[in-house]
Amino acid sequence: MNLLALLSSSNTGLAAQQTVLAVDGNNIQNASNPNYAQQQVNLATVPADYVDGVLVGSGATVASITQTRDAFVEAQLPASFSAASSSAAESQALQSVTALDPQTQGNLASAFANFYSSLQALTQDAGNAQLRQTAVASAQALATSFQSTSQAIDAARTGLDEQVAGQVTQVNALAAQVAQLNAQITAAQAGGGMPNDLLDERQAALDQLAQLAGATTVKDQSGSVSVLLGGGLALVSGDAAGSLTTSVDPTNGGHLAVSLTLAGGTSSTKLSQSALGGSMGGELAARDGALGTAASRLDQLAFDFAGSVNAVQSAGYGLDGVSGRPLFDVGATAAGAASAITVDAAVAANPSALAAASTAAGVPGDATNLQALLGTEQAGLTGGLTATATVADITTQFGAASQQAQAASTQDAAMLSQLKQMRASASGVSIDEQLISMQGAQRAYEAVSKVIQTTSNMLDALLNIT
Amino acid sequence: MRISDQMMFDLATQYTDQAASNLQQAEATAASGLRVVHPGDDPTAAGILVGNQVTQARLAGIAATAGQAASSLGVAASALNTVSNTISQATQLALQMGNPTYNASERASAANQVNQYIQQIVAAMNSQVGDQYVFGGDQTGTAPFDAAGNYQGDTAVRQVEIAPGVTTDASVRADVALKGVGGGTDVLATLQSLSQALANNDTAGIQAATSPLNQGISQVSSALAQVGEETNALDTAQAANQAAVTAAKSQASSLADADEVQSATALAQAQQALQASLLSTSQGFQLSLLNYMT
Repeated sequence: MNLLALLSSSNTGLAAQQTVLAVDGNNIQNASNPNYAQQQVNLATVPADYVDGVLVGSGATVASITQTRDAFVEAQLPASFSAASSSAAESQALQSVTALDPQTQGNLASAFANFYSSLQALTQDAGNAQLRQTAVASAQALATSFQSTSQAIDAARTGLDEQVAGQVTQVNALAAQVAQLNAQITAAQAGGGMPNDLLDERQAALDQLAQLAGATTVKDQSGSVSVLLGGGLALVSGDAAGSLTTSVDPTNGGHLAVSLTLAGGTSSTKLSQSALGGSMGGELAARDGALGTAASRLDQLAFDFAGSVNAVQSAGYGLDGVSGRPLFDVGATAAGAASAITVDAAVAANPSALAAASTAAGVPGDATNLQALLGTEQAGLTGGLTATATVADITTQFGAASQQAQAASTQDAAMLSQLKQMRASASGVSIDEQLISMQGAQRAYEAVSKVIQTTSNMLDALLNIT
Repeated sequence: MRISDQMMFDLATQYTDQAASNLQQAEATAASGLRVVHPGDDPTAAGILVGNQVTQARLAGIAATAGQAASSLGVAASALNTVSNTISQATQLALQMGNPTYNASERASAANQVNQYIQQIVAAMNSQVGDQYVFGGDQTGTAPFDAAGNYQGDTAVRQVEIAPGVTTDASVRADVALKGVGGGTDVLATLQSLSQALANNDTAGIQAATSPLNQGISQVSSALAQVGEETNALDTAQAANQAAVTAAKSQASSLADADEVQSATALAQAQQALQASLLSTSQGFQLSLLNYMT
């Protein structure tokens, strides 16, 4: 190798160390960027030249700049993101519902207790107008408690609808972003480059899609990723994105259903609950799971209870000697009964219509039918439980679902944390490492400079011979 | 394991958040004194608490009603005592006036006395609690006996709930006790006959009244005994239900209330954990090569 060639290769070496310094600087500047994967400069030896029959090395150059990623860990993250977001969303949704709290003043259980206590008090003076008024008022309070409990649960379910609708917009935006990034990354890689910043940007979007909808990814050789929902439905395929839409589902009490329109498609497919994970999946699980069950059981309870009481009330007689009047109006079916239940207008307007007596004679102290009304407290309804036992069972069932979701949330969060730590361990920036690397680059740069200086001195010596 | 800066910050955030969350939870428990607020805190206990809440209210209502019914029976007992004493006095008067030594004038005066006894008995049997007549069966709004001694009530016996779904008698039938329905003596009719016999100076008629009046005393005594039994049953039910309410409250407390010592300890532990987390975080951040490079 001649001295001029040595000067040239040293120049390449200096450039390589400058690149190392630049990448280290970039890493340090992105040290607190959670979406950033640390980059590293991969140096390569410049092919050796034959000099006087032997191979002499020609220095170092930058072969590539790559990200430090752990594919094994990253393959596990989408599912973990999905599970953690799902259980957290479900737990949060269930925890936020206070309508079934066991010790809340005026809750359904206390309304039942007050209703039967007021009937019991009335048995001692069935003709007493004030006691009748109290009994009717307690029946109204019970109906109101049914309504408020049902409405609180329904409000929570509607709130979850709104959250899901907002997340659908986010998912669609992210899917479009991933499709666009796929196109850019594929093009860059085809040109031989490694678009690390685009890869970071896409990974951040994929993480969010996993968190929102439980989307998983499949990477192909071109560098493009497909985004799949549960059941293998493609939300993003290459550079084309499908979209989610919401629509009112009349078969589910008017709550929202989520549908997928495939990329380039014109028709949409209604997604089952299992097709969505992440926050949306958790919210739908809470809405149609524990909350849906509690709502339908409350409806059934209101319907059965009203039917049980009405059967007795209708068979008895009011102070006016009239029979056949119900105490509660609840509708023809159980659906929506808890929010629809009211005290029958005839009884509400005239407490003497409360059928305490077993005859039409208008005997004021006749509480025979009232005793039968009291007996409905012990009557088994659908499922064999009494009304108050059903309230207790609904509470326990809801609590168990809430507790289970909370436990799952804690466990899933711990697993996600572990995986995120492992990813941060592989891909995160260590400033100390970067400082050391910078020191190394600086030393190398100084040394190459020394080579240039020495080469220059040698050239000077040659030039000064004459 | 390689430690990146992001990892250190993430861990510090996670541990500090967790410690702060635990502290908030411990503070809430210590401040409210409640262990079970949301059903998810303890599903089984929450369900039991719901049932317990109903039980407490219902049993308290049953105890109160049993107490009221016992008070009402107290009024009935007082009235029946008055009736019994009055019949005794009438019997004594009949025995006295059955003696041939009394003349028509004296017996006419005694007849007036018997008429007063009849009015006393009618008044006693028309006793009220509030606006309810005690002895009229279900005809609680009408005086059971008119001035002539006719019974206006019905044959119903009031039922009182002494446990959910369980009832007991809480009144006596005045038509049986006083009018002898079912094979007994019609006390008021006997007294009216006695009065008539006295007015007519009919010695035989006066003497004939003595035996039925004694039977009447026995009838009223039976009614009094029945009232006593019913009162005892109601008193027992009241006490039992009050005790059950106390037991239910105790159960609710043991299920729902937080252990004070435990919650105070948990609070102190959570405070220490947060302090330790903050301290270790701040110290960890001080370790950097930057501090040693000049």
